[in-house]
Amino acid sequence: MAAASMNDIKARMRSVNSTMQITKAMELVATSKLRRAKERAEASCVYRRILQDALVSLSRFSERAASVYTEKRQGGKTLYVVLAGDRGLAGGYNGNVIRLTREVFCAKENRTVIPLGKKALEFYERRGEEILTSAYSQISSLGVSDAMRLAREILDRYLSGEVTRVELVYTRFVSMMTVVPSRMTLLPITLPEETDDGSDPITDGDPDELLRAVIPDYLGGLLYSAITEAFASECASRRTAMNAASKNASEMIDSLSLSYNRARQAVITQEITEIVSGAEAL
Amino acid sequence: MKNYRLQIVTPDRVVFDGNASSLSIRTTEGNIQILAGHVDLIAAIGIGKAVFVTEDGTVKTASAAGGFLTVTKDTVRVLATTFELAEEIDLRRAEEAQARAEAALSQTSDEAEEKIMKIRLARALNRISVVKGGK
Repeated sequence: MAAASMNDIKARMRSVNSTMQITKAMELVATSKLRRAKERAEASCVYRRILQDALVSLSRFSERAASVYTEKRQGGKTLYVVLAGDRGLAGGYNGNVIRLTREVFCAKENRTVIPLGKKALEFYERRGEEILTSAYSQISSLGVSDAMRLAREILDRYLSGEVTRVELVYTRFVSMMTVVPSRMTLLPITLPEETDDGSDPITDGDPDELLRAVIPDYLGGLLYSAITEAFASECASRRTAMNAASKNASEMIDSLSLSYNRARQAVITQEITEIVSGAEAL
Repeated sequence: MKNYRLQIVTPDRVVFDGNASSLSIRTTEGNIQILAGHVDLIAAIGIGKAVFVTEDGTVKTASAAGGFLTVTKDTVRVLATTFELAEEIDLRRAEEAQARAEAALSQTSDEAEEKIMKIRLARALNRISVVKGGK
């Protein structure tokens, strides 16, 4: 019996060990991806800051022309742009984004979704949500031009009145260890409170024309920077999750090898007892 | 010459952040040049060549397309969709893009597609002219 339990323990140790090899490898991959993703997110974070500063002068310059983009409207649907990952095994990353989205969802018949990231697409397909487009589902391959195209597509639907509010749900990248699921209203555009910076900009040409040219780029820039942050967050979550999994696995192996050694010792002790008592019987 | 703060960014990187004395760029309304003390301005960037002179007098040439720029109290912010310095442009890629766009233009009859291809062609030609003119 003791020998059988020794074999069981050995088999478990082998299986835990091979799992640990996988989690360790995934941790390494996530770490190296994270470094690049972090640089990308930081660069676009600067862009976003400057973008938001620029929005202040943009709104001051013509409130009338900007009102199409800033006024609340009724009647149409609310579009949710949900940024999750392409793959699982990233701790609570995908789940947290989807949970936050559910919290902010309005009534089902009034909403429509653009999922970014395969996990989000799969989830909403299964749930039978109305999906506006699934063309951008692979989040890891989205570049600046994809973000710009997506922004134009969203804006077309917004201006046609089909959609009257656009919410973005993504994961903010705070540091390597901290990521925070967040939401942001893309449209109508919310202007910063303190808009009076004393500037009164001029422009050549028609203000409406200018905003028509500038707003898609503004939205595209915001989307791109959210995409880079979400991707960096995904890598960071995966790294943290895989790090914890590897740690757990090595703890399990430690305790399993302890029980293995005990079982082995028990077998030896038993054999000695049997031999000694056999010798005494002679 | 007086300097002002110039920030040039694209969604994926910061191209330039520092002091400059002059920036010429093509907007959707035509070419403009911005020197220190310029009146506050907003303009959409067209497809064209951009030239800026940094604090130490270095002249930098680039191809710019899309986005917009704002001037507020002697800070100039250029938020371009693409902004590539002349020395970074891959001439062969630009020429390939030109050939692709021209081929697509001669085949398509779809109006929307034609518009996109024309923009692509303009961008490729702009890159090529910036590289060739920059030397």
